[in-house]
Amino acid sequence: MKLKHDRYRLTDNDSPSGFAACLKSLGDVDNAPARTVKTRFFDTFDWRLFDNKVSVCVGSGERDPQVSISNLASNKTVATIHSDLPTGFASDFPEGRIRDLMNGFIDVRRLLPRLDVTSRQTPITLRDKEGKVVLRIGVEKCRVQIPGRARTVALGTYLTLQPVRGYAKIDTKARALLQTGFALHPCATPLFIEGFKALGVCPGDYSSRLRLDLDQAMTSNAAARQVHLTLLNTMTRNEDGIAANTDPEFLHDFRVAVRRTRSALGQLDKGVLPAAVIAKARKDFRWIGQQTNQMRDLDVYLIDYPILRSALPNSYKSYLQPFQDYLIAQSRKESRRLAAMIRGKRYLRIRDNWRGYLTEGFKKDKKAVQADMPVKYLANDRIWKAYRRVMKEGGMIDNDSPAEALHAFRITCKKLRYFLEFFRNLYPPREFGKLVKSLKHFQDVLGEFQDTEVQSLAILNFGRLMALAGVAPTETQMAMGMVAESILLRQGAARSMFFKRFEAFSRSAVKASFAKLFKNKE
Amino acid sequence: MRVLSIYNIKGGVGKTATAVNLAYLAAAAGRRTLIWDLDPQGASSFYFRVKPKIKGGVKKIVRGKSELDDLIKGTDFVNLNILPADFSYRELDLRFAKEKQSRLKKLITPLKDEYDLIIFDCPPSISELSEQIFRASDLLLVPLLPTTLSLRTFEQVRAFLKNEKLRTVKMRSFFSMVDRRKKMHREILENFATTEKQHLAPYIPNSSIIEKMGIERAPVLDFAPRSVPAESFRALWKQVDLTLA
Repeated sequence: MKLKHDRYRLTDNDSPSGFAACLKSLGDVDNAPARTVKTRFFDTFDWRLFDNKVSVCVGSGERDPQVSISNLASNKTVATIHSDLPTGFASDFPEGRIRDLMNGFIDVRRLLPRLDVTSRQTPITLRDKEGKVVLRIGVEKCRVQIPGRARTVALGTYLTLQPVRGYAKIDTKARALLQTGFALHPCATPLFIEGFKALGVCPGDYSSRLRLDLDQAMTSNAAARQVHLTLLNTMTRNEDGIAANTDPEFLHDFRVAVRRTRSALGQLDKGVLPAAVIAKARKDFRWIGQQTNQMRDLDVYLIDYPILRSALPNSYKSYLQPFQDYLIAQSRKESRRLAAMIRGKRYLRIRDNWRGYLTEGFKKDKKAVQADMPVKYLANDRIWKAYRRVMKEGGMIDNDSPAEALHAFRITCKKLRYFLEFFRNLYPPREFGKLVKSLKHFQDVLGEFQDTEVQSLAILNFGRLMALAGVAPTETQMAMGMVAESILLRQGAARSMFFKRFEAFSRSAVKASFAKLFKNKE
Repeated sequence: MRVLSIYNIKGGVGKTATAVNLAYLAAAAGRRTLIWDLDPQGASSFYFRVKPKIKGGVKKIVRGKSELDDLIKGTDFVNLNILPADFSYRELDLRFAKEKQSRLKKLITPLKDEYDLIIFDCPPSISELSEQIFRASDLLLVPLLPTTLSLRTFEQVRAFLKNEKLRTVKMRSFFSMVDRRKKMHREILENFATTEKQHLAPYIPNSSIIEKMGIERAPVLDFAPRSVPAESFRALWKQVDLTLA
């Protein structure tokens, strides 16, 4: 059997000098002194790189830092750049193929440190008569830790082989010699996966998408509690990230979980959980949602700032700078307030009481008449009702409808969407997926309409606040006005597009599919 | 994939030093880079410590019987590979003369997914091979000595491109081997840079550090990364990268 892999686990008896001696017959062997190399692996909070079978790490040894992007499926390095990741955003990568690649994976999200590997490396290079490196091997003893934490775990000692392109013969010969001389155990698993495993971290264990696995045989009550528990877990998972404010997406996911919870409390739980419990939880989660509104608004404008700026003529672009400065200052202030809220007594009490109720505190309530109903029946009932409401409200929207009517309709659509997401796995995926897609199609237009409405007003409001604070020169006020106008121009297009998309959603084929999947037979 | 050719009719103007150092910088910036040492003297191959030898020689390459992919060697630097020189490259003119004018362009097409940048280190001449290079390139980078004769060669190349209607290739010049102690160098540097639109401002000084590439057998950026020539190559690469974009 040939040595096919490029990484092997070693025994304690194997020494770098032994490998160097073994390869001596093939050329000049450089056995450099051992050095310590630190490698930090990055991923987004929701493991976007890992989900795309990609790893990104920054290595720093004797030379300048070097970013490496690897494909986990092929275990090959896709790109290496002499650089660092100062912000963690895709803009850290050089323009062109690599940035496009990273944009595709992480979008607006930030790469956060996920794993540190400290290795004591002894590099051995094999050179030909010209002094050219024809094969690199390395012996490395690795320890891993979660960035910022003190605990380290030893991974073991490895032999790594790095063949050089165009020197296949020497590579084959070297592998044959190593195989005869040493007992090498291949490691097919990438180093960082082994590292996570040793630290008890499961990469990919968090996704922004709702992962619910409801059982057809469940009662409605059990299903509702599982929905709420999953959403509560999502909220809890994002708390540290919100407090540290390392990526706006922590707050985004937290807010989505709060919104879904409130939607479930309002529509799903009626007749399933006790009315008093629902009323209390609705009040509590409304409060939590309100606490996060201001920060999210600031996040959105900061993320969209380059787009807003691009709407201005070049000569006006610099005038917008005070607006960004103002957003950053407000965002810092608001972030501190939010961090205090998320660690505060009121929030923790709400969270822990809710978890306690969902896991242990639940008691049967006579008035909760639908509690023992099979979940499928409940799901059909809720989705069908929500769908009929969407059709009724959507049909009433016309060219003269005020923005408030479209906003209310958007919320109705969101409720239907949430129900579809909660109960996704109870239905045939193909037909179900088509319906979600058709709903999403016109929801996007509604979102664009609402965003333009809210954003244009918010920018005017920011202008007022900045003027009061004395940080908005006339030129900046004018530039902000131009930005607000450019946003409103998009609104008209969104409104006309809405009618087309809603018409498509109102087709009899879509209606028949909804009825087939969700209409309960009385 | 972009193609950059370091070219001048004249020899000894710093073509190879430029090709090797720009290739190093492109690779360090994350570009998957291939340098093709087209000069039978094999100086680029020498600097990268790769034997100037191609299996099957130029005959098989031009006829398409050797896959370029199989002839490429990894250098000691990440993202940077080399297609070495071969003594048979002295016949490149003859071989290409029997082929279509876009033969070289066609030869490198299969490499477009594998590399972001190909750099041709060209031999000094104006010939059939040069025409093939012009047709395959996105940018022709012409190192010039700050001397009257050298400036004349730039005009010759420009006139040639115009006559042959080779308008798709951009041409840029820069000064190489500049000795600022010489009055003539200083004057040409200032005058030419202000009058010539296709000229890049960064220049490469005449330096013993660049000559040391032959001893170190590595790019200046590798063995003297903080030196003045290294900084000059960095400044030049920035401009070249912008022009290629």
